[in-house]
Parts: sequence; structure tokens; C-alpha cells
Amino acid sequence: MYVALAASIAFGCTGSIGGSDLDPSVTPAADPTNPPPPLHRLNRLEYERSLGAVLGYPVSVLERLPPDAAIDGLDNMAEALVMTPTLLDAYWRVAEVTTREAFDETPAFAQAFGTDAFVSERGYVIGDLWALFGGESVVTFSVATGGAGTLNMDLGGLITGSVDAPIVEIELDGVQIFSDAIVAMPGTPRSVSLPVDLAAGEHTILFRPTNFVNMAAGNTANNIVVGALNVRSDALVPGPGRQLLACAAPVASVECTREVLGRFLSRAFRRSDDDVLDQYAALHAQLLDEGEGWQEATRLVLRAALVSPRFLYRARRSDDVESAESLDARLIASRLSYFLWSASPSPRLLAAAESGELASAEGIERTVDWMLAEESAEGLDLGFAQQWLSTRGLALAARDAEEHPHFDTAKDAMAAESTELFRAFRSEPMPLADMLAPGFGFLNASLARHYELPMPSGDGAVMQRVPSERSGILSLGAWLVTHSDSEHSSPIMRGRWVAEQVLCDPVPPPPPGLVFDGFAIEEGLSVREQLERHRDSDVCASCHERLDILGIGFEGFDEGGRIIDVEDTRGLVPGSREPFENAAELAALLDREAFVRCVGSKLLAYALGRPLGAFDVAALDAIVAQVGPEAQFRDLAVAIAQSAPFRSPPDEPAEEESP
Amino acid sequence: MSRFTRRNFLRGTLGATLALPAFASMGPRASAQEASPRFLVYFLPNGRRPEHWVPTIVDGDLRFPAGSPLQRHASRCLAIDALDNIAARESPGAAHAMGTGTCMTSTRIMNDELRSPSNNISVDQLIAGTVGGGGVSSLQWAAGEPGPCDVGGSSCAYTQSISWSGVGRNLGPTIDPASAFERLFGTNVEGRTGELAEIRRRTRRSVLDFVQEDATRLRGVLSTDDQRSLEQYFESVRELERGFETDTTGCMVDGDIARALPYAERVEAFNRLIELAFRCDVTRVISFMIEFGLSSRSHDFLDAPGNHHALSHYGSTEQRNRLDIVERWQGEQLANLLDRLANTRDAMDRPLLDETAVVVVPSMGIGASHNHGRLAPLVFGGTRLFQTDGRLLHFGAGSEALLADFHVALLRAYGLDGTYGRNGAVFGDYGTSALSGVVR
Repeated sequence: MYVALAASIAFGCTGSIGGSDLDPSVTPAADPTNPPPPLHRLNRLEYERSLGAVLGYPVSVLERLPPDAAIDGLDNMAEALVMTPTLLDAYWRVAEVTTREAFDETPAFAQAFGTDAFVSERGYVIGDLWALFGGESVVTFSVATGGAGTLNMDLGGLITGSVDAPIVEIELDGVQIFSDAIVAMPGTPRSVSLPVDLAAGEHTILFRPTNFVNMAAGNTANNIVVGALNVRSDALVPGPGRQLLACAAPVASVECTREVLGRFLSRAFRRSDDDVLDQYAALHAQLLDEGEGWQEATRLVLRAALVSPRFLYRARRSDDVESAESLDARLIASRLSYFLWSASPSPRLLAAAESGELASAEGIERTVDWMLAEESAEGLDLGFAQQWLSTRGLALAARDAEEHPHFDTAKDAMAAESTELFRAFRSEPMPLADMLAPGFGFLNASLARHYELPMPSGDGAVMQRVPSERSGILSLGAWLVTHSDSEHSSPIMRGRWVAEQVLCDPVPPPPPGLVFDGFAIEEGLSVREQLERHRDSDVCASCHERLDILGIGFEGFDEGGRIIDVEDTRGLVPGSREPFENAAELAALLDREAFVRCVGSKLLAYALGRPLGAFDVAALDAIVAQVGPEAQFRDLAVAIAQSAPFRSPPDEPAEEESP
Repeated sequence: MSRFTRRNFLRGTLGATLALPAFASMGPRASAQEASPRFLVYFLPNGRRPEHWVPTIVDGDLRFPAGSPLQRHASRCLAIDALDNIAARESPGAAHAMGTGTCMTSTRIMNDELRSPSNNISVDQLIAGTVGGGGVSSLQWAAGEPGPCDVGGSSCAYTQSISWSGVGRNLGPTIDPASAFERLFGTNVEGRTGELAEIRRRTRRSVLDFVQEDATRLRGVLSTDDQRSLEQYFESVRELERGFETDTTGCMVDGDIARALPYAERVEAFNRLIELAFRCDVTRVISFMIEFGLSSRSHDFLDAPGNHHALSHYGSTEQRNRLDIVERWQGEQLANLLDRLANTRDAMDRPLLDETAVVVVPSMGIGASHNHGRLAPLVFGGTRLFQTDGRLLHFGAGSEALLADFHVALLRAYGLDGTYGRNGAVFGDYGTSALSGVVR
């Protein structure tokens, strides 16, 4: 143990550009055999997207599930995806809510408006209420489907002194629908429900006080407050999952039950199995006997399926059909689907598995190509890119509002800046290594304001030319912010990020039992001087030397990810003598093939759902050799999907000799 | 009479018109004797500043550092100064991951176990297996959001879990108090009441029975390793069933908990939930993390901005002052919880705090220097089992009092007299005998 550890420290902190053969992110396995695909619980993203795929429409349940532990910065590693009572309880509840919402009738349109929906020159907020204060206030909304409905609100008058009760006129799309004096007090407001008939599209509600008085001297005023504003259709429409219950056979017949369940189970369990269908149909019959109605019983059976390990886990089974070359085609389909989509296989993919398409390297290449072209490939942005480029911590990041006035409004755009850059490279034929310095970026108006760059045209994250110091993954706001303190940058954290995510040359943990004397407080040291105190100890110096000088090269970005003028930004890549002063200069120093290998190693681990072992590293070498330094993302994805760790059956353990 | 819980007591006082299955929900684990006191682990991240944390004896009384909100409960406290978390010290130097992960396990993490969760069973989980009463065997809650994980590729499981049910099995906490509330105190059966609720109770049981049969059939076609992994699933289903059999309808609960609360209100909500869960006997064992290990929250709402972890390695007086504000605020939250427990009565009309052992453990002894050797845990309440009467167990610098032996003492207090460790250790990898002066 001590020997091994000492060795890892000895080589761990003396890396070079682009990692080394002794990549410390790779656990050396005892023997380089291909291990079997592990029993793999879906992580929260995979669960949410699989649930959406099974139901046929997107669902939003991430918030209801506890977070999954990550290994090597990825949260889809089988080993870490344990099952706990807390988690199963969450699955059970999500299944209940989802199957209820799928079938319950809902209004064709229904929207509630908070105080932030009001636009006005004069109005203001009092708690949950909107005060008109003599000015016109406007609320704009749109409905996808038209029809008759009601506009509901609470109106109250704030009357001070001897003054008339305030009068409000309400117009919908320029037509007056209400005009009256409001005598009710805000605490016991007057509830108003107005019939409306809306066409699909945008609509405007206008509130106009007509006799406003506000005289401080006489202490008289007649203000109006609006609360609980909402609009909803009279008509109810079936829930979004209604088609799941559709069947050719008579409704509620045994045949209909089998049809509904058969369709649902094959999708949820990623394979068709008549025995399994028989068992779930028998459960349905039992629930009818126990007093549930047909639809309720059906919901319960769907819930049973959604908490079954057949849905929650991906598994290699002893009855899978395998060749010497390839795992069971259904298992390959499942692996491809979670790799590229973070979701369960679509009918088209399952059909490809049935047809034998996935049994050959060529068939896999064709399949990866059409899969990457589907909208579902956004699963890579949400699963892989969000983690690789560290955008998930942004939501929690807070910055001083005076120092960073546009930070809050730019946070979403900053996350999009990273994921859109990745998306461009995964979907367009460009060399992956160009991500280091592509010359373009993705900004919207909010982010441009925060970065102090010219305003882009159009809404949303727009692809545009950006200055070189703002181009490429080394200058993305998300990781620079999530690897900073709230009031200053952190060269240590940034050095660690670059070492781990771009160089694939992470530093090992400090040695056991490391206790350092807390630094004496010395005010007024420069960043470099502060960091140099790490060199006071040999133990600290061995690793911090690498992290710190790497991170200092990013001091030209402040804690909000903005470019600032700083004197000392001289960074150094560990093991190299070439200094760099900013992200663009570092990008130019990096080796393109090493970058492809680094991304490839992360993507391979992500695809396999396990940290790489010795067998996988040999495969990675072959993959990198196959795709070369100018590889596109697509080439890498194809090579990974064709690789032995991904699609070959495992090496059988050596037969034990009988005594 | 000793099985007269508050729930049943309330039923009695609410009148005989309520047709409730008396005692049916007590479950098979309720013992004939009175249940042991409840057990709460309260975790604090990023170590502490000992000068603001560790109490001393002044004129025979336990005295916390000036201004500490914990002084209010000094007379119900057993303080220990200090223990060596040797497990963390001998594990790789990912100090926050190891300090957090081992604080209830005393299990050494080997270098090659850092990236994938390994570890071993924690004290609270052993206790959960034995205490009577309660519905679910244990609950894990945390008020923080998952943030960055520790260096060297440490698995996030180490910073995000203090409760472990076995090797590689970290019990990830619930971080949303609204979900936690719904799980425990939902007042109806899936929105149904009356006869329909009774039907659903029955069919829900049928569904879970079926799910277990289905899982058993699937298990038959898995490899041996995967069959073993699937055991976690079976345990979880059984625990879910136990939760359903727990009936909290007799326990007074007013108001639910809103979703998407800001952080400080989540802490408050969990304080309330801990009190409720113990008062209503929903469980006897809880572990709570006010934040995950290595928390990097910026406490702007306290006017103490700056990543908490960064502040813990303060390099300026201003940073150190902010750290003090954060640590004091966390102490205040703990003191608020103790207030709640002290002011609530249990079924026998005793202060709930007397019947609840609250073990407070920071991730490290001294955060600034990543010191695992001077860990100062506190125990409050649980007076039947612990010497929590304003006492200080003082081990001078250089003493070899072990956190692991404190863990053994906790087990012994709950009547766990066996051997639970590895390689001959009584507990974890280092516990050999109960630390004296802890158990009453």
C-alpha cells in the first residue's frame, strides 16, 4: 500500500502536456481482460429521458430525484449508481405523479401570472400583489390552443383619507371587458371572473386606473392592487399520455389490456418478452379483483413497470444471444442509446437491433450517424458536456451585484455558451481539436453585456465570431466561474480543472495524514506570492507547483469569467518550458492528438459507464490511432461504439482447475 | 404500558370513534422493552476553528467559547477534546472526502478505493438495525446541494454521504425537505380517502409484492455479481413497504413544507422535520448534513460572501471573520434544533432531547490545516445512555484517544456488543474498545 502510494506520488505530479502513458486517471487492472458490462442503474438524467421516451412526451422529474455520485467527474458510472430506500421511494413517487398527469384531463390552456408578469411605468410590487399606482399595467401571454375560458383575479382598493373609491378599466386585446369602482379591501379582495374567448396566439391584458389620487399633503390616495391573476380554458383536454391507453380491441377488454401493456413494457424494458407480458397482465387482473377500475389498474401496472429493475437497470443476461464478435443486439442498442441519447432505445433502434444491423462494424457506423442526427442526441449535451465543461454548478454561483451587475441575467447564457459550443462540434463536420480555438462562440445579449462584447443580433445563444481570447473551451465562462471563489478567482481550482478536463493529467490526492500549519495571515501578498507559500513544504510543492502555475495563466479572467487587465498571468504547462499568458496562447501550445485522446478517454468511460481499466486503455490507443488528430466528434463516437470494450462479449474468466 | 407511544396516546385522547388498528403499525421490530433513545448524527462541513468550537470547564461548568449559541444546551452536553480520526489520516489526503466519508465509519479508504465508493458500514446504520420503534429504519437528509467533489478524483460519495450501509453502499441523502415531508406525513393514500384509500392500500401492497417477484425472476438470469448488486434493490423495496405500513395519522402535524425553498429555510425545514420524524416515531435514526463535505456555499444572506471552503483556509482577517460568521450561524441552526427537541415532549411526557442522542461531528478537527487528529465531537441529550450532563472529556495534545473508540462507545450504548469491524477490529478498521467516559 505505502509502496504503491509513494509510487503514485512520485510519478503523479511530474506529468507532461497531454498526459502520459501512466495516466493516473486510469485504474490499472490486475489483468487486461474485457470485463462484463456491469449491472447499471439509470442515473437521474437517464431516468428522466427514458421515462419521457416510454411515455412519448418529455417529462421534468430531475428535481424529484436525489443526485447521483460521480466518479471521475461523470455521474453515469455503474459502481456509484447504488440503490437506496430513499431513491426507490423517489422513483415510486415519480411513477405515481407521472402516471396521474399522463391521463388526467387538464385545461387546454391555463396560466397563472405573478407580479413579475406586469409591465408598467408606475406600478410596483407589494408581496404577492401588484399595485397599479395610477399607471397602466400590461400583462402579455400566449396560448397554444384557442377557446372559451375565464380570466380570474382578485382586486382590492387601498383607500386612504377622504377620496373616491378607485376605478379600474380592464381591456383584453384593446377591448374593454371590465370597468368598476373597487371598494373591497386588499385583505378581503373582490374576486372577479371574466369570460374570455381566446384565439391561439398572443394576447394582452391592460389595467387602467381612471381616478387615481395621491396627495401626500392631504394624506389621501386610492390605489388598486391586483392579485391571483390567471386565465384558464373551459374545455378540458385529455392528458398527454392518453395515447398510451389506446387500443384496437374494445376498451377495458382483456385484449386491450394486453395491447396497452405489451406496447408499454417492450418500450420500458427495452425488449419484448411474452412471459413478462403474461405476468404483468395477471397483475392487472388481480388489481381489478381487488377493487380498482380498469384505468386505475392500468396506471398501477405501469407504475409497477416503472419501478421494476427491468426498467431501472440495464443488465447483461445469461439468456442474451451473443456471438464471438458482439454482445446481444438488444444490449448493444441499449448501450448506444444511453451513450448517445441518455435515453432508452427508440422503436427504430430496437428494429435495427432485430434486423441484425448492429452486429457489424459498418452497421454500427450507419446507426451512430443517424442517431447523432436525431434531436435525442442532445442527451450528449445534457449528460456528457454539462459535466465535462462543468456547467452544472453555475446555478448555485453567486457574485456581488455591484461588481457584476449583469452576472445573474447571464448565467443561463453562460451555461449555453459551453453546451452550444459542444453541440456545434458534435453535430457539424469540424475537427474536434478546433474546440480549443474555434474563432467563434455562442452569446446572447445578456452574456455579451456581461462580457462587455458587442451585442449580438437575434435572441438566444447565437453563433458568432468572438475575439481569440474569448474563443474555445479554455475561455468558457462556465468553468471559469465554477472554479472561482465568489469574490476572486482561484488559480488552484482552475489549474486542477485544466489538468483534469483538458490535459487529462490530473494530480493525485495529497498523501495520507497530510496536515499543514495554517498559513499565517499576511496581508497584501500578490496571488503568485500567496501560491508560492505552497512551496514551503516539499509535500505540497510536488503537486501545487503544477496546479498553481497552470492556474495563474487564467488570472486574466475574473471570478465572473470576464476578461480583466492583470499584470501577472504567466502560466506554465507542467513539464513544459513554454509559458503562456492567456487561454489562447495555451490553446496554441496543446497537442491536437493529445486533446482528442483526452476527450476520447472521457467519452469512452462515459459510453461504458465505468472508469477505464487496462483493457480499455489498449482500446483507447487503437481508437485514437484510428481517428487521428483531426478527428471529428462523430469519428470518435463511431470508433468508440465499434470498439471491443463497447460491443464485444467479455472475456470469460479462466476455468478453475478442479482439484 | 411501555409500548404506549405518542401515536397511540393521541388516538386514545382523540376518542374511540376513530377505528384505528391499534398497535398494528408498531411493526415486528418493536421490542417488548422500551425503545432506546433516538439517534441523530449532525454533520458540519469544512472542519471547525477549535477556538470557536471546543468548550472548556470554567468553575466546574461546561463553557463554550464566548458567543456560542450552543451554550444554551451546555448542561445537556458531553464534549470531547479531542479525538484522532485515524481512518481519515491514513486514507489518501483528499481531506474533505476522507474526513466526511469516515466520520461515522472509521474505515480506511485505500488509494485505489478513492475513485469508486468503498468504505464500510457506519455507526448509525448498525444502530438502525437494532433500535425498536419507528417505521423506517433510518433516514438521511442534507440541506446542501451537491457541489464540487474532492481532489485526486475522489468519488463524490465520500463528500455526500456520512451514512453507509456496507462496502460501496453510500446512502445518498434527500436534499428536498418537501419530498422528505411528503414521504413521511402524506395525510392520504395517493390523494384518496375512505374506502378508496383502503382499496389502494391493498393494491399498492399487491404491486410491491409483484415487483419483488418480478425482480426475483430477473435475478435468475443475471450473473452472480449482478445478483449481488441487485440485493440493494430488494432491501430498498422492503424498506419502502415498511414505510407504507407506518401510520402517522395520529400524530399532530401542522402545515406542509413548500418546494424550492432558499437554503436557510431548508435548514430550518429540516430542523422541523427532524423533530417531527422523532416525535411521530417515523424513524429512530437520522443522519443530517447541514451541507455536504467541502461545501463551497457563499453565505451572502449572512453578509459573509465567499466560498465556505475557501474561507476555511482563510488568508486574511476579513476571510477569517466571515468564516466565524458562517460557523456561528451553523452553530445557531444546531442550537435551534436542540431548542426544538428540548421543548417537545415524547409519549411519556419527557423532553424529546432527553430521549434523543444528538451526535455532532465536523468533517475535521481543524479545517484550515486539514487536521484529522484533533476532532472534537459533541453529544447532546440521550441522557439515559450518555454522560451528557455538562461534561468535558479532555484528552491532552498527543493523546491517542480515537474517534473509532468513540464509535465503539456509541455502539455499546445501544447494546451492540458484537464485533463489526474488519481484521479483528471491533468497529471499522481501528475501533478496539469503547472510549470510557461516554456511556452512562
